[in-house]
Amino acid sequence: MNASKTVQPGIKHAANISLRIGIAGLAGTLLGAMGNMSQFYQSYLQAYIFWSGISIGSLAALMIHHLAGGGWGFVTQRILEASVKTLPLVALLFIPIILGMDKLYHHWLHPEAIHVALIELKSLYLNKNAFIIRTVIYFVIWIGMGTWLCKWSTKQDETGDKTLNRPMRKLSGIGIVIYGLTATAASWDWTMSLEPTWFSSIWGPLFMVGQGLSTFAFSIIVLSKLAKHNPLAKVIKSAHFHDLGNLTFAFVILWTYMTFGQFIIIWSGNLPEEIIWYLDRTPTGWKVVAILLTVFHFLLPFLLLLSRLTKLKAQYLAKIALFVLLIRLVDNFWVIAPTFQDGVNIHLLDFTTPLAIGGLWMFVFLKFLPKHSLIPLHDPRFKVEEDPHD
Amino acid sequence: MSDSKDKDSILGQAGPLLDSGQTIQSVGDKVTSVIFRKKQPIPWFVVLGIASMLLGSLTLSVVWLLMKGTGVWGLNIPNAWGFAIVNFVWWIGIGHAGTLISAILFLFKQQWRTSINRFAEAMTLFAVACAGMFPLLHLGRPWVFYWLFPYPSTMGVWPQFRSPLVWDVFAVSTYLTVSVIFWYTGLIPDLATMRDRAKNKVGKIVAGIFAMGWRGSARHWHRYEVAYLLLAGLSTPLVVSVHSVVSLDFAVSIMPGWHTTIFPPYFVAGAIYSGFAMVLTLMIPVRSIYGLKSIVTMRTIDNMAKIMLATGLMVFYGYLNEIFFAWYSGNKYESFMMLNRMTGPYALQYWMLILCNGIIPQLLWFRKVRQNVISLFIISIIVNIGMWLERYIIVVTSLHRDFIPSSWDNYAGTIWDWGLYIGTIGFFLFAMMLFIRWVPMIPIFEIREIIHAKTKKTLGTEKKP
Repeated sequence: MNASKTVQPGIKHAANISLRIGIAGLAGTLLGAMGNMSQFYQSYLQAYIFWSGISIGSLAALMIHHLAGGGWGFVTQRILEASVKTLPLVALLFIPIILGMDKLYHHWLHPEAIHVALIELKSLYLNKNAFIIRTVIYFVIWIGMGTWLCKWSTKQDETGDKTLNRPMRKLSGIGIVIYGLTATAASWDWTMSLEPTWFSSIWGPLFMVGQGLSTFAFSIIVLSKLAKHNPLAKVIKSAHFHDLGNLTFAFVILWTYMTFGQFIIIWSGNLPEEIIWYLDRTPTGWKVVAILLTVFHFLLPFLLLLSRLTKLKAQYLAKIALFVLLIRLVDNFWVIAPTFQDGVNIHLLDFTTPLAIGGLWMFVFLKFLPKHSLIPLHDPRFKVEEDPHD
Repeated sequence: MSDSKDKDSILGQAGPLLDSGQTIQSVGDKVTSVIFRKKQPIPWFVVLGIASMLLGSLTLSVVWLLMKGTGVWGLNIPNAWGFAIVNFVWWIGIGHAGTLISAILFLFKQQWRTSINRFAEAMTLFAVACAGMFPLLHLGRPWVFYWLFPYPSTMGVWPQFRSPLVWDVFAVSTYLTVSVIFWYTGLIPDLATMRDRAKNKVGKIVAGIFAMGWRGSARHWHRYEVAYLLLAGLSTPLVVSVHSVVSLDFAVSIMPGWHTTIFPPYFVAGAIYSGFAMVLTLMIPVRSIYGLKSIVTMRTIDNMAKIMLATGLMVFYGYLNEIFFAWYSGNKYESFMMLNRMTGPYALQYWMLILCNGIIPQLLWFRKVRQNVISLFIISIIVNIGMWLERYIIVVTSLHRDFIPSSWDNYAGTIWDWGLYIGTIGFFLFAMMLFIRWVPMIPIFEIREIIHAKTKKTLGTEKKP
């Protein structure tokens, strides 16, 4: 506990800055939202999918760590746990989306508006009550699993009870399956249903890969800051960053693989109900965004992360990770915005909403982060994993 | 003993990486003794005998096919793809475990892979060879197979580059080439060990030629390690790409049940699933017959079972996804396809598939099941059957109900289909038996490295090797 004192003021300072950014973002959002509520809801959804992705993705990464136990997990465990603890906030932040459902999901909420028998058929799944109930269920499950995992982890710190690894691993085993199912359903609800006639069975995995990518990128950034201070400075090695860099690299490739697979299958099939999604996302301006994504969501991070040099050095890796996070926002923009606008209209709200949610989110995250030791104190695997190359 | 068991259960491991008591000497003795023993054990002869009989079936089926044409198979219109593609996909999938173990698990520094990697890689090569037979034989005129490659012939005919069947040619031939090189590179130090230990001149010369003058100098080792790492990097995308391309054979069409965007990763997961099942099916008897239990330990077996469980869950997720989207798509052909799968003429196969691939492997959640080699062996065979059924269901249920009911027709393999299929199993087993007999099936030097690192740790010294 006392070892982490050195890092305490820095975290506190960062939390204050986050809060200020959040408030400024909120002010900007309120200003921008006046008279333009539909733009607000669209931008809000983009920002929400981005930030909630880190919290939910952290839960999955935490469970994978409990199951697989690589060296990367030891140094990021507390970051992931603090991020998981923001889930109640993320659940609360869903309320504006429910309020804005009429605007966001009007394509299926008002089937008479586009009188499509297809949508009527789907109303068993796509209806307001079911949507809300499902979302509540997702959050109850995620928060429940996250709370248990964090509780056991804290308890192990306090009591040194090594047997606590057992329940953590068991819950993670079942939990990762439950995460897969709930996150898939959430992806259908939150983003796929924006265009209710469209469907893509890879959507769930793609959504989860996006969450994973954001989570690893985010963890690298936070870790690179914490690594300079004790207690992490004592245990962290460049090999940890190398591993996290490799994971980010793998997720960049996975994202590309699934995105490209989806595209080539839909392109080849050329069926009207499927290509509509790409037809909305490739007219003039959107084509530029799509090309930018190919270059900056795939090519550039791919080439940069291919080298060992960039992965071993924390400061380089953190810069790449920040870039990846920003491009994740652009990806969300490309997925969500074309439903609402024909050309690329970048609104002030597209910038203020991520800042508003993000500032608030970071503030809560940074409040939770220093509550416990920044490394797990009594994990029996820790000694084994001190040298990840061993 | 109970203390270490308790520790294992906390860490979620199953026993040690290697049984204690293994030394650098004993590993070499154990592994090479399989080759240098005077007489192979009886089960080896039994399997070789059965495999030879099945090879006869392969020869007969191929000759008959070449004499009569593909009409001897159960194919018809609309079922233009039957056993040939089912078996092709099945065999290619089985190969994937080898590549995953040798490439991805190597990059992830999973030490437990060491004892099984060469065995699994050999399995990959033979499985790919079996897989390759089917599309070649399905060509009708297999002797002009080279038309598949784009080359500037006098006919001026080029392959259709938009067709995934052409991508298959590239994907599979690249896969085979890289797998062979990777496997052989890993073998070189052990071939040198064989050369040094060979008891007769012929063995010495043959192993010597294949060892390519390996002397084990520091420079040799350095180059070897660089080459191995690079090959592992090169093989990693192949784990994903080959079966993704195979899945595109189906997915780029607009057939209900085939045209779905989840197919590439879903096929890859299935491939790894079936591959690990096959490694377990073969490794469980082999390690007990040849007394290799102390090298291929329960931890390795347990980890393989866990990978099987994980990939099996992914595959099951794919099935659930298919069902949901058959309904959610609102496409009547899609929903008919799914209903027909569940209740139509192939319903029995479909539910068998769900049972074999989805339900029974859930037993692997239990530690007791994973620790019991007999139950694992049975489950691994069930998964092999399930994965074959999966491809059968995908191919046949989508084809046999065409868009126009007047074109509907059922499909069943003929005796020649089955003869060819079990014939390739014979080929596979035959090749595996030869491999066990002639090549060190466990990488001796890699196991030695583990032992070396372990002794270094216990002694607390940092001596250079």
